[in-house]
Amino acid sequence: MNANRIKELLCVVVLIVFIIFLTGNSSISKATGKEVLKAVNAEIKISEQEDIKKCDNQKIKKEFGFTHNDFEYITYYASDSVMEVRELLIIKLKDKSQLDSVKEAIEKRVEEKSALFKGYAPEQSAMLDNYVLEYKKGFLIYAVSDTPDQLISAFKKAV
Amino acid sequence: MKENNFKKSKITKRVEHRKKVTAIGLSLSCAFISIIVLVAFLILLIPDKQMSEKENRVLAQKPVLTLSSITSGKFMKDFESYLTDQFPLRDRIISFKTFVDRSVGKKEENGVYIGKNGFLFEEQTEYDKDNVEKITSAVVNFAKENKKLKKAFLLSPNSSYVLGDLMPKGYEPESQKQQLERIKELVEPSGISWVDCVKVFDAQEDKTGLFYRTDHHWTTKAAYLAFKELAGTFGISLKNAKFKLYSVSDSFQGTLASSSGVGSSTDEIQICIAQKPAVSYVVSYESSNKKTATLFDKDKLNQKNQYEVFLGGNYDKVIISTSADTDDTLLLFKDSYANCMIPMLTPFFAKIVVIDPRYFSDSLDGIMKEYNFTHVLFLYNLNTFLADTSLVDALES
Amino acid sequence: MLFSSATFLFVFLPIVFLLYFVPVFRDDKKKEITKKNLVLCASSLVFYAWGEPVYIVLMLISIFFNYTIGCDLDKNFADPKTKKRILVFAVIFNLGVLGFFKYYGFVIENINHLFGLSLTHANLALPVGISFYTFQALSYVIDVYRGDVKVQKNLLPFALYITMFPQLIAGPIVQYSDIEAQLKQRTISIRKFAGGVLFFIRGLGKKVLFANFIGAIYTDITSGGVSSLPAVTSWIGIFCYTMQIYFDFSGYSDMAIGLGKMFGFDFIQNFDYPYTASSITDFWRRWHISLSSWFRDYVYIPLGGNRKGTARTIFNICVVWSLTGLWHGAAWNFVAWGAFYGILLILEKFVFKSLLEKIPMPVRHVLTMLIVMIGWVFFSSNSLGEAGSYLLSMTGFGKGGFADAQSRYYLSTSLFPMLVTGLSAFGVFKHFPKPKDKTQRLTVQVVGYLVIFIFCIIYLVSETYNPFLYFRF
Repeated sequence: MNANRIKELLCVVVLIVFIIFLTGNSSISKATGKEVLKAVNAEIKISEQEDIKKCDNQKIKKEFGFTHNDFEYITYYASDSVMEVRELLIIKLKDKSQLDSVKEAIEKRVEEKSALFKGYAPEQSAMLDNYVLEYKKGFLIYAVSDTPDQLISAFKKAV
Repeated sequence: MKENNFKKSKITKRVEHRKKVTAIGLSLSCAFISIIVLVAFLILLIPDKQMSEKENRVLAQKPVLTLSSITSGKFMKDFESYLTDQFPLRDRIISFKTFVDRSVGKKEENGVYIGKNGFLFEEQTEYDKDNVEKITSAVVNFAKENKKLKKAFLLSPNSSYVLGDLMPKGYEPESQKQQLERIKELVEPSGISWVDCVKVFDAQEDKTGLFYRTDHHWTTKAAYLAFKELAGTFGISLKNAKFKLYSVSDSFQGTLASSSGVGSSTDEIQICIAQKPAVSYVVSYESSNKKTATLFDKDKLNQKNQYEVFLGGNYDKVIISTSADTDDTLLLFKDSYANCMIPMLTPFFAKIVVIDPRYFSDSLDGIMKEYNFTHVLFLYNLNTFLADTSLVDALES
Repeated sequence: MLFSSATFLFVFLPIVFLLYFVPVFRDDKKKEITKKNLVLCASSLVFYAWGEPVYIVLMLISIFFNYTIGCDLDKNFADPKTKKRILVFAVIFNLGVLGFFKYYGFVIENINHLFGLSLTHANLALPVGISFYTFQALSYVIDVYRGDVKVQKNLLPFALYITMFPQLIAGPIVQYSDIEAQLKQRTISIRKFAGGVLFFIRGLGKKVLFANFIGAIYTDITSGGVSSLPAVTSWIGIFCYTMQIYFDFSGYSDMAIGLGKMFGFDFIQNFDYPYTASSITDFWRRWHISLSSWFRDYVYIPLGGNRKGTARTIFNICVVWSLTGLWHGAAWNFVAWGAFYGILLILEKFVFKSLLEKIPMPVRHVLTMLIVMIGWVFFSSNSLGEAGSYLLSMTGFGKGGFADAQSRYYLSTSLFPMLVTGLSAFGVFKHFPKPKDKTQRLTVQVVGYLVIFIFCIIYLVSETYNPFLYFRF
């Protein structure tokens, strides 16, 4: 086989690897929800914030319309205060087919929430504009935070 | 010889022409490059601003460069918004653009319609039958559970109805009169009195004083007219009462001016104070643990949104205790249209609990038990009411 | 990155100009052109990565693959069998990549629909520009196979041909043969640069001032659903879309041609006043010329063109036009749009040819324009069903009836922009009296264009005007 042929086949191989990498998100991470939460928390320390506390399943149902049994894992941190917009939601999906509807529900909520704060509280609405909604290997994270970039990288590392 | 000369002159002419063309090309190239480089330098050199007063929002800042922000494309997006947000002379550029838009016949800017005599109009909310029925049935349920209370429903039409003549030609949304009629039919049978603003406003000869030119709220004058009608419904006698209007600002440019970028006119803000019966009151904002002795926040007249002079803005729950000689207490569900009317209500209630359902996350049950209300008022403007999703939650909490 | 973005105009472009034009090798012309090619190629990669940070890998694979194929074809040029095998392999590879990223989801969904299956597919975003650069690469490979162009043994010029940022993401589709010589040697002069600036500003103006403005009206009209539109409103809407797509697309091509000129390249013209066409055949000679010629050169003529009898010609036209439709997007309404033109062209060629010649010219222009506008209904809709309801609305038999108050509003507010864009697209301004003296004319032109440029910047910045409405309640 001559050199050109080898190079051509190499291209095919690299292409296949690339496509696998792109679609690779379909695999499921082995990490548990708690581990991911721990890793994310280490970055943004949400459990140490005074106003923000872990919410029960009822609150999750009320805020997002999610039933906790539908997911392998779900945890939600938020504040009771009206003016506090920082929050954190981590979900481990049971099935990837849930992804679209879950994402949609979260996006709708963000929209409603930012409509409330628009112009009324510029800092809050700027924070809401930079909300994080990421999916990786079965895990979904949604957060409103001062440090969205660090949060994403912590999440991606943990999953 | 002659021919030669002629040839020569033709050649020199051509050379000259070429030279000229090159010179023009050079100046164009230089101008083009100078413009982009100049702008680039200005963006670099002008210190970044945090807030835009005109747009009332936090401006994008220099994004942080990380590997993940690059691979996700977030950095590039943020960088573009950083450049456009911090663009030199941004506010002036935008004003100029709306001016050009209007001169080529554009009558709408960012969802705001540009009408006659400097009036700006917000787009009417579409009538969503399902949502209306959802809200009204919650209201009706609430009325059934609280049969003893005196209940009134005040739903104001918007300027697009009252001042419809001043709207740009051709923009004819569905009449709010009919929409209000339909809502009235849904709530009235449950024993809630309907305060008919349409009738009151229609009877006015000069309607231009009822709404701000540059803001989506009604004026204090309109609120006063509606208040008189409401007093009739509640059986409050205004015979001995005396109210006075004071002008507090004439430089108000409201939300409609802001969102359209059209800033050619300003409005006057008046406040209405009851002189007789004169009462004193304490206003407590529970969520922020703040108490004041006034319903007006003068400081807000120095900021962009001067309408916040009324009640200091929107709060989830405000409790007003007055020295009024009565046992009547009022529960008020409202949007910001109520803010300028509340001072007129103070002489007639010992306590007014003001709830803005959009920010309210408490339980209504507790409040109902804590205070022994005698009156309930729902006060909204139609545009907000039609899009509302929070009143239902509040009533069912 | 888009040409009409602040990042491109005020950061990317100044930096590229600086690196490109400031000479490093003053005495060595060959080295200098290599440096210029390197700068252009590298900045093109940055340009692409700015919008598609992940898919840059795909483009690099495509460059390297097609470059190698070129060398391979050249080596086996004397051996027709091997040569053909290599070509087939290359075509399969290129179309396979394009097919996977562009049509995979579409195909799976249709299979699911047909057989009632529920196969899942990864939702991959479409890599920007893949349709353009794949076609460019194919034109090179096929031309080398045919012996029409010499093989490019240098990776850099070839990479530059594929990536060149002016035409990278929206064409025109440059054929390798048109640009081969320029990759090695090109004239860079002030006059050419200035000409490029004029082209660029014209394109930017078309996009920012015309297309965006008129497009907003179309978006506004269709935002409430198309089935209840009255006839008048729907005609206004489709007219606005007709103008938007022309100014948007031709504006982008003009900017590409202009940028090319600034760097010393000459690209072919992509649009030639398409809306002044007097027949559908004529329209397609004037619209997206680089795509039509690509299909002509690499599909229609290889299939035999019109030399193999009527039946074969009709077949060939059908193939070309279904492909043209599909090239524009993976959805049935694009296929319908392509088929619509295929059928019309066949009719024009074989049935109405003599009839068409008898029709007076003005009527022919109007007829062509109407057909083109109906074509855009298919193109602009999100689905075939939506296109159907839009067409029904246009007849006046839809739910919306003939006209309502909204129609009057749109008519009164959109008349001026519709008139200006219309007259401009129909080439009326071309015939305006100009100063006789050439220098004078040029000066007027230059000043006018600079004013347009400033207006474009103003509109670009204003588009991001995004006030937060305090108390929207």
